[in-house]
Amino acid sequence: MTARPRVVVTGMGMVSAAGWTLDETWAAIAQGREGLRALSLFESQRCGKLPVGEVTGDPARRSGLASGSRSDHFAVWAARQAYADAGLDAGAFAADRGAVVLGALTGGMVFTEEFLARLHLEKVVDGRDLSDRACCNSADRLAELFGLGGFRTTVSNACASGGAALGLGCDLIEAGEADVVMAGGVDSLNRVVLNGFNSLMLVSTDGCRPFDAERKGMSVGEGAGVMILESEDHARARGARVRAWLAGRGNTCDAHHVSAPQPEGNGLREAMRLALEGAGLPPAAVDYINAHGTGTADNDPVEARAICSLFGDRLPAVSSTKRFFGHTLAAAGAIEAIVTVLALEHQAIPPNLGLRTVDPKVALAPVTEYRAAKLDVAMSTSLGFGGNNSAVLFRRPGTWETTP
Amino acid sequence: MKPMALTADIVAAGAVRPGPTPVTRPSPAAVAQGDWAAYRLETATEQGLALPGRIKRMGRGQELAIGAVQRALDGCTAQGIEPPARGASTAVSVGTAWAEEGDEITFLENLIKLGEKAAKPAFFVNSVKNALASQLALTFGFQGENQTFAHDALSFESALWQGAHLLRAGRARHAVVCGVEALVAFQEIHGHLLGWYGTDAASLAPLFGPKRAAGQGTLPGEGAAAFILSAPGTVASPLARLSFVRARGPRRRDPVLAAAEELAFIEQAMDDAGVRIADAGLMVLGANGDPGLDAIYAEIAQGLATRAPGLAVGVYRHRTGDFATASALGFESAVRAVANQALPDEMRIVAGDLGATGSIAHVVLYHLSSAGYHSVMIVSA
Repeated sequence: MTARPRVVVTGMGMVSAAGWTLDETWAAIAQGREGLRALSLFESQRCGKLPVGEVTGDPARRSGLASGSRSDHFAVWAARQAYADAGLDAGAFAADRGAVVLGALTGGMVFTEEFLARLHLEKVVDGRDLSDRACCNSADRLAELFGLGGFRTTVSNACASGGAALGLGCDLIEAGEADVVMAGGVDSLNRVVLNGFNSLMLVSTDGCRPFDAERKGMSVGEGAGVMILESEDHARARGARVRAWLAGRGNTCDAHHVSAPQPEGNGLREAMRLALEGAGLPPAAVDYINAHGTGTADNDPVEARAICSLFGDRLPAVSSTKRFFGHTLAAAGAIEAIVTVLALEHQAIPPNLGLRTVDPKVALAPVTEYRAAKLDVAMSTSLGFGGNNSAVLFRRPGTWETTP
Repeated sequence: MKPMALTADIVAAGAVRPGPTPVTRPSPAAVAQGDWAAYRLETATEQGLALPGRIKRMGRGQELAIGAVQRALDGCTAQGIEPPARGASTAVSVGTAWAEEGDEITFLENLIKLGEKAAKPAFFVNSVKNALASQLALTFGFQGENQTFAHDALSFESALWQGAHLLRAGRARHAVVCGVEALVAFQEIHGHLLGWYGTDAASLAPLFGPKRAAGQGTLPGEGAAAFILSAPGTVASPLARLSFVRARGPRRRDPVLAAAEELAFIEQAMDDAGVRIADAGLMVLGANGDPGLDAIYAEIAQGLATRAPGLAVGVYRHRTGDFATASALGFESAVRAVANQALPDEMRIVAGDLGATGSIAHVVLYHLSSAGYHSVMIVSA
């Protein structure tokens, strides 16, 4: 039986409230500079004063698209960075061997909202094309722009979408369906998301404080993260730089509640265990976990229980980076996976910004200051509505060539 | 590296379908455009849906999906086959372009008309696209990988690929794959404004019978189909076998659809699947009664006839209407065609002769959307 090909990361790109590039993002992380700020994108009576992870600047100028939703612009900009970072060009792969898998939830929701506002408030039936409202539009844009003529899909697993999309990207490479996969996640701020989370009383009035005893909830954000995934053989053959090995991933479903996680974190623990199993590593091999850590009452203790029960008394370093860019929904798993790879590259642990006193229900000691550390293996976790959990595990180049 | 063969046993299937003819309803007051027609389930009870009990408020898509999965599970019982177990060994893979868009729109309309104080949490939770897949997990206790694919006319095909892949990779013992769409007023408004849909309440007649006038469009529809997949050889007598699925998107926005390119796509797919067109038994097309799209499908049918004279070509959207995941209902018909070695009532032969090959060894389903999404799925005996 042929061994599973290793899936490696050869390119990355991202945009969030922490910055428009990898370098800007890491600089914000290293300096402990939070990205949350007052909402300016639209007016909101109830949510206008809530700190959000809003991306400032003109995304259309970055993407170069003449049309499209805010999500489309973010996705294209992140993809442009990733494509360039991977050193790809039109001749690097056959079109039908290039795939795109993007996690997305809300797409161009603002177009739907504008249409309905005209319909109900102005009694104007506006027949303009609403096709850019679909959440699959961003993946279509990437496929068209980058000549990805193979498998194409949009994963919509709530806030675990980004991690799930990376996992599916691995599936495609391992199954021989693709040589190059553009995988990641995207989402943008809109009224539905902000008011929706606020109606559930999940949004913090003073910005998220993951794992803190006095945390008041999450902060909604926006952005995109895109990785270029390839089989290691394909990457080596074209002389590409390998940034990391996506060595394992796990996806599970709690089947417990439509919006709340299973209290003991069984599903997340299983997702992390599957990621380790796929990588052929024991829990003790993990040096760092970039936790989902939203700052909600439910999420943080559940995640801590899952981590503690799997890793026991050999806990890896843990931090949540949500206060740098907010909870970017479908993009979260991808953006935080990129941060995790950057942590491996920089050999440093991002700080858990906003944490002052650890919640007694959280048996973790999240890292609060940016600090250097020897990191060979790192994991990123995501949880979503519907009980969706995902975990992706990365290894640093130079750490597996000698592995039997 | 070549793609690995992707096969799975189809252990059971179930569907929730709209009635055989379109229903007529007044268009929403906001647009007041007279009566509209659609293939829509008017009530759940009308379709004999026995929902396993409302845990909490469910949306229309969730009801349809649960109904289809319940019917598939009933099929396991009827055949004396062990149903998928609760727990981590059963994965759920759902394709749905719009999921609970009705609840999403209600949430938005409340914000617009009543203000932000009217934001209702239940509508928001349901508006998240994986509400259907997670409700299936909750209702039936399936804790394996749980994926929702929301990519227009590639949604069900993506779910099918993923479900079969999980079995191949040994990551699930059973995969519950579902394609579902719930028709809501907003989609009708949108489609009518863009001229996608006609208003003539007469049933669609894709590639047969009286053609709709140019510009008359198709009619919207809804429904759900679910399939219980297991790894090949794990069940003594599966209904049928999934032997191939490939779905691709257009190379450009607003593509110019060309029958010759589509025929090449079909031929390549079948070549990769190792199935000769002449051996197909039955080719099923997604023709939907829209004059423009049907013209392409007609050319494709002619092209297939020159490659395999007498090949039976069937259609089914005169009984489902048109929606992104209607291919799941076509797939469910194909499974029954193979299982029963007979044409299901809701399918109609528009060219060739079903008896020409003696048996239905394979049903090849080909779909093309106006946006240029296309797919080939093969169901085999």
